[in-house]
Parts: sequence; structure tokens; C-alpha cells
Amino acid sequence: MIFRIRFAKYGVVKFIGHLDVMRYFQKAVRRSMLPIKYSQGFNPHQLMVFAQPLGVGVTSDGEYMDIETEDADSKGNPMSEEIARTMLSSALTEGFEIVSLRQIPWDEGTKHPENAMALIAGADYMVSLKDGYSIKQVNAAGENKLVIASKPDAPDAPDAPDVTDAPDAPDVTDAPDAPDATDATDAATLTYLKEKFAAFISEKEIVINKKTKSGEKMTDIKPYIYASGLAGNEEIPEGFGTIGTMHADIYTPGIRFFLRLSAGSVVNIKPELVLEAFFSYLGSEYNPLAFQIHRMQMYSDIEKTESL
Amino acid sequence: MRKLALSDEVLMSVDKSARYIGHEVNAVWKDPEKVDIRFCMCFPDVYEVGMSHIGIQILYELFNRREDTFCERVYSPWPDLDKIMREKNIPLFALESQQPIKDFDFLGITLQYEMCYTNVLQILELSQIPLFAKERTWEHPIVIGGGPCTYNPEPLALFFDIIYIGEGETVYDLLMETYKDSRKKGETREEFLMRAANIEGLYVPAFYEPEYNADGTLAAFNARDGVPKKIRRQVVADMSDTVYPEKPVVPYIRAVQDRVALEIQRGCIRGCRFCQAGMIYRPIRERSLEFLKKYAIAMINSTGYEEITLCSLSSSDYTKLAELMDFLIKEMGERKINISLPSLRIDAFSLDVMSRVQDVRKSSITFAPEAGTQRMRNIINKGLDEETILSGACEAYKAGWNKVKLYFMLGQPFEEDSDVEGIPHLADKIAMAYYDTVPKSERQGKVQVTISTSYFVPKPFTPFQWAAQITPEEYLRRKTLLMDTLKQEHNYKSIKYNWHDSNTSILEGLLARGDRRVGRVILEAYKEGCIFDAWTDFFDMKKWEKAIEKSGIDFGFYTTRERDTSELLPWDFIDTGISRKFLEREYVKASKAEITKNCREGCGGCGCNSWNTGVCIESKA
Repeated sequence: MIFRIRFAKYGVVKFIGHLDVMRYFQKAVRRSMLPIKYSQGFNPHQLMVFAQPLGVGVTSDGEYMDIETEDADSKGNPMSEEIARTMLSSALTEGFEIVSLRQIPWDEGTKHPENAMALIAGADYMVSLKDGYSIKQVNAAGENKLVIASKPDAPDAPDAPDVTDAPDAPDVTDAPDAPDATDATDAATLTYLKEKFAAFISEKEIVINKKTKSGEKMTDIKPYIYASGLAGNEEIPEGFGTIGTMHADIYTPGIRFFLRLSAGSVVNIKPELVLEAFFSYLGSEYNPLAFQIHRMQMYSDIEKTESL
Repeated sequence: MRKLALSDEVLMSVDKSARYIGHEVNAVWKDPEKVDIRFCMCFPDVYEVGMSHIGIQILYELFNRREDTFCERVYSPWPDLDKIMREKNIPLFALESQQPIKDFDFLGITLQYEMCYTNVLQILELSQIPLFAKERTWEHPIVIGGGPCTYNPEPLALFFDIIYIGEGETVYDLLMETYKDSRKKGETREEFLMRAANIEGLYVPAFYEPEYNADGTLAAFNARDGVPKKIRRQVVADMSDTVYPEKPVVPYIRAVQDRVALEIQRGCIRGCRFCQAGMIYRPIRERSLEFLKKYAIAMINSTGYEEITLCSLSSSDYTKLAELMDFLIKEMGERKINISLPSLRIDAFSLDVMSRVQDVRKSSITFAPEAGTQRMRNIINKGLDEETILSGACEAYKAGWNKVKLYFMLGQPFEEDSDVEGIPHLADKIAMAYYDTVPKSERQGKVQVTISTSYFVPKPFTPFQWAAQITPEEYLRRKTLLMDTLKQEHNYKSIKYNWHDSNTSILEGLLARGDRRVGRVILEAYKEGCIFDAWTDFFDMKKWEKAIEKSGIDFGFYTTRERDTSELLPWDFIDTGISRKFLEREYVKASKAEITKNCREGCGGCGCNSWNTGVCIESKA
């Protein structure tokens, strides 16, 4: 039996890289006692396939993996979606959660299910401005310009907020609920930013300097941006569901970019490329540390927005 | 989910940020507000090394079994994070709660090898705890050391409040009770330390004062009134009735030992004269089969590891190894779990077991003759002769292996050039045996023999504790002699030679047998910027040389000087149970190339039968 599992990765485990996530699930499956199948040979490995890797620091509600199990567990009890989900869930620790689990059919032609990895065509991302940063309008040479600013006490400023020079001062880490110094973005700025983003997306082409193995290449990524939007914390642009944001952190500035981009082995566009191009369009500097990227969903068919 | 001590910005800018986030599978969580004692357990090296250590996992279990105690972990921040923490004044934090260690009750640091000593100072400084014990108040944690290096704690004595001599399972509970009582009564830190100093096995350096002769040797080691003159090593009496983790913490990133570790026994019967572990963990004590079966299954189920390894100094000496292996091969086979078997003597039995659990073509066979001639092997009391090695190698070749690793030491006492030349001679015979044993038609390529030599470092509480360490120049000369001899051997093209760096070994010699004055060198080296000295990428001999010069100590006095057996040694105040007379006797026997039987063949009278356990009572049972 093949099960396709959609899972979320959130919180502190966002710092765990893809290979370690794979190793985590191999161990979790063993702890769960799922009757997973193994490959043949002297060093058998579990039949487990992951879709697109997720970068370090990125959270997600839309990760996928396929596992192949025996039809029944070691005691002869038949496997089902419910049982598989219960077993695997019991072995997962905070930061990993099953969003959905379904059995997928064998392809009668190939006598093998379609591989999760090979199916990926597109992905949705939400990119949020983090606490400690703001986007401000500044008046330079008679022209309004939007720039990313970090507060003096923002985490990338010389002194982090949870650090004090005075040895006896209370640490912020001791009081996790201490109010954050960041303010929500004012309505006027948000509206202006939305206008600018809409204008940017409507450009005929969006050319970026894409780094490849063989060097740098000017590439138009416009055809690979399938949908987009900019929203505050209370809204989600049309076409982007809410399920994909369930495990995403919410940040005070309330500036969230939504992007549906080409993904997978043919053309894979990272959301930070779009953001970088946008800030370049604004004539200001992009700061990758100012944003939290969250993968919402992955698609096998981008036309029908069919999920895996 | 707990807030992390480090910001996303910091974590995104350092290598392997998963080292610092905690939250691993089986990591313990308690409400810090609801416990009496907060203990932070530290392995002063990088996370992947520290997480591989079974001792920490045992103590983590031991402390967290107590409802009143929350034991957390910390490892050395890698130099990239070290720099950021200093720049931003971020205090070092424990992984579980992510809270600063300076607010804890205890900071326990395990000392597993000498080259991590500067990392101890790094841990203290990043924690914002005063480096010197005498500068600490109740505002700071009690800093307690443990582990094999504490058998000569003197070089680090001034940096520790307490040093625990021996196995942690025995008196930590008593120490915790004493601490609680002391704090409740509002005693001073010194009053508490005085009570701690009267718990067997605990050494409080502040209460002891060394005195020196004009020639630099130790004249006396004075204990203050009210504390014991000798510190008795702690030994677990029953290894099958003691704490062991059922749920070891499983790191997210790959640790050096990425597997379940099952400690099958403690101690060793062999009595190799160079080996400190073989002395300080005496007597050998086995864990029962029932104990091992129970924990093997529990740990595999709770961790999801795909491999289990047996831990001990010499697995072949475990008396029920065959039964244990039958059990593991069956149970682990069903679960598709690999079994790894280090420290096995190569013979028909072990080759059979190994061929059942690992891929013969990919693995290699390891021998540790430690010396190239029989004379030299008798000097070091390595109970392994050429015939055994060669027959073992032949058996291995017949079973399909064609890679052999050989470990040797250069510079052991009484070594002569002919002993050095004996190393390539032996390697050549082993290579030759392949061509004599395996017919041409069945050979899978050439035989590959690898010789590794390390530079012998005399260690406290071994029969060689008085011996001179050879100079780095002499080590290099012997290395060259070995290499030149190797080139003359018939099969030299099948033999590869690796040697250990001489600088780290001579420094290890200084730290291993140093006295309290050597602490100054460690401090100066640390101030010069030395950390992670065990890592070739970071080790800088020039900084150490500068530190030695600044501290004004005589390097040769500690390393290349042979001590008289009448000399008072800095570690003589520790009672390991091994009598000094036994060690002296062994040193004399070494000089005559006389061997001593292993503990099972006949008691050598080392003195450890005072514990009345393990091999010392086996025959009587």
C-alpha cells in the first residue's frame, strides 16, 4: 500500500535541513511501528520518497512524502488510512504534523504509483515581514520610496533584544510574553505597497540575475509566477486557501506576500527571487533576514491547482 | 514551543543551526519554576561529538528521574557562533529551556580528553560565570567536573568548585540532597562545599593546597582540616541494578555515533600497561543478559535508530557474548536494525558474528597490536602474539575480507629501533598471508593493510605514569625509521602508513600529568584564542608555545622527564583502588618484558578487589 502524506514543518524545526528531515521521518516511522516495506539488498532502506526539499529556515504546511507499507501490521491487522495516520502521528514530535494522509492507487500502466517527487509543478508561498522590521515610505529627491527598515533593537541590529549588557538585568528570554516593540504597518503604507506590488507584477517581464551552476544568467521569471497578492494579517488574496497558512507564524507588521510559483525539477523559482526583484523594482535593498518564508501547498497540475 | 535563545538572524548566519535549538526526540521537558534544582550537563565539544557520548545520557536520565531536578544539556558553540555570542553579549544557554546557564544551580562538565580543556574555559566565559572557582558566589552555579581526565584534575583544579572522581551513578543523589538541605538552611557557599567535600568521591580543590620542592616536584598536598586526605573513586557495585536510559535523546543532525549504544560491561581484564581506561575502570563488571536485552529493545523502540552498537573496552571478554549476539541478530534482524561490533578480538567466533551482521566486502578487520615485536608487546602487556594476529588475518581473508587496519604506538617505554622496525615487518607478514591464503582465482583485488601510529602519552594511574614521553623530534625520527623500513618490505605497495600529529600529543602529555601550575598554561592558551584544540582546523601550536612561555613553566619537566617512583605525584591524593605498589611492580616487570596474566587467568593483586564486585568475585560466585 502506498500512502501519500502531507505534513507541516513549523517552529524551531525549521532550522533542520532536508536530509535531516528525511532521517527524522525514517526514525519516526520505525518508532511508529508502521509496517513499512524495505528495499532488497544487504543494507535495506525504507521505501519512502520525499517531494521537493524545503530550505533551512522555511516553514511549511505543504510538504509531501510517499511511504509504501505492507497491507497489514505485524499482528495481521489490515492497514488503513486512519490506522496509518494514528500510528505515524504518535511518533511525531512538536514541529512536525500530519495535515492529511491518503492511500494512492497504483498506476496500472507502470505497475507503480506516480512518484511524489516527479509530480511537482508548482507551489504556493506566503512570505511575511518579520517582527523587528518595517517597510517605510521615505521621501528621497521628491519621490516616495519604500524601504525595509529594522528597529534599533531589531534582532540584526548590533544588540539583540534578548540580550542586555547589564549582567543583572532580566533577560527577555525569561519572559516569553514580553510585548514586542514592532508596530503594525499603517493602512496608508500597506495600500501604497499593494499598489506598487500590483504594478510590479503587471510588468511585461521580470528579469532577474539567476545564479546557476555554470554562472549567472538573466532570466525572465514572469511566466513562472502563476498567481500573487499582498495582504495584511486579516486577509488572504483570492485563490490562496487558508489551510496552507495553518502552521505559519503571524508577525506584527502584517505584510504578507502570496506567491504561486513554478516548482519542481524543470523550473524551480524560489520566492526570495521574486521578493528580491520587487525590491530592486522599488529601487531599495532586499534583506532576506527580514522575511519568513512559508510553503503553503504544492501542486501536480498548476492549471487545475490540483494538489499532490 | 519554547522561544529560542538565539534570534532567527543569528541562527540563519551560523553553520548547522540545529545544534542550538534543542527540542530533540526524547529531550526532557519540565517546568523550571516547579523544580528545586536546575542542572546543566555539558560536554565541552561540538554538539555532534557531545551527543554521541553515552555517559551524558546516563547522567541525564539519572538526574531527570528526580522530580525535584531538571537536567538540561549544553555543548560548545562552534567558533562561528562563539564569535557572535561574544559580540552581542549573548549568555550561553541550555538547550531544553534555552535559558542562561549562569542562573542554574549546577553546571556539570565532563572531561573526556585533555584537548578539550580550553573549551571548558570557553563554556564558563560564554556562560558569564567567573573562570576561577574562588571568584564565584551563590549568584553562580556550582561548577562540577567528571570523567576520565579527573584522575588528574590538578591542571583544571582552580576552575572547578567540585570534581567528581569515579562513576556518576553513585553519589550524585546524595549531593543533590545535600545541596537542597544546604540552601534551605541558608548556608554559605563554602559551608555547602565543605559538606560536599565530605561525600565520598567528591574533591573540592579549594580545600587542598600543593607545596613544591625547589626542583619543582611536589613536596606535599595539604588538605584543610575537616576534609578527607584521600578521595576514593566511585564504583557502581551492580551494573545490572543501576540507572540506564530507556529513551536516549535523538539528535536531529547526524551525530558522530548515530546509533543506540548499549554498554555491555565496564572495566577491562586485560591490564595493558599503557592504558588508563584499563586501570581506572577496574574491576570488570558485566551487565546481565536480561538487563541488556530489555534496554536494547526499549532504546530501539523509543529512538527509531537503525543501528545498535555494543560499548565496552573489549567486547570479546563479555562472557555471554554468543547468547547476546544470538538475541540481537534475531530481534534486530526482524526490525531491519544493523548491529555494529567495535572492540572485538579477531578470532573464528568474532569473524563468524561479524560476517553475519556486516557487509564483508565493505568493512575492514582491525587489530591493535600496539607494538611491532613480541618483546615490546610483552613490555606493554598486550596479550596478543604474532601467531594469533596472523591466524586471525588468515581466517578473515578466507571469509572474504581484504582490508586490514593495524594500530600501533611509538614511544612507549623501553622501545628500541628494532621494535619500530618490527611494525612494518609485521604488516608485511600480514599482507603476505593474504597471497598465501587466498588462491589467485578467488582474490578480490589486492590486500590493503593500513598502519597507524600514535605518539604515546603516559597517563596517570598506569604502570607507565612515571615514564618519560619521547620528544617530538624523537617521535618524528622513529616515524621516519618506520617509513624507511616499510619501503624495503616486499609488499610495501599494499601497505599504507598514517601517523598522528606530534604537537597535540606532546601537549596532551603536559595536560595529562601536569600539576596545578599547568592551569596557568591553559588559561594563557585560551586567552591567546585557543579553543577546539582537538580539531586540526583550529589547533594552533604557536599559541600554545606562547602560552607556555608566558606562564613560565618548564615543558620538559612535565613531559619528557622520567619520574622517580618515590616522587609524590599530583594525583596521588586520589584513591582509585589500584595500589601504587601494583603499578610500581608492573613498571619493573615491563622493564624486564615480563607479562602479567589478565584478571580471569589470575589475580594480579591490583587492589580493586576491595570493592568486592565484578571479576574479583566471579570465581567465588
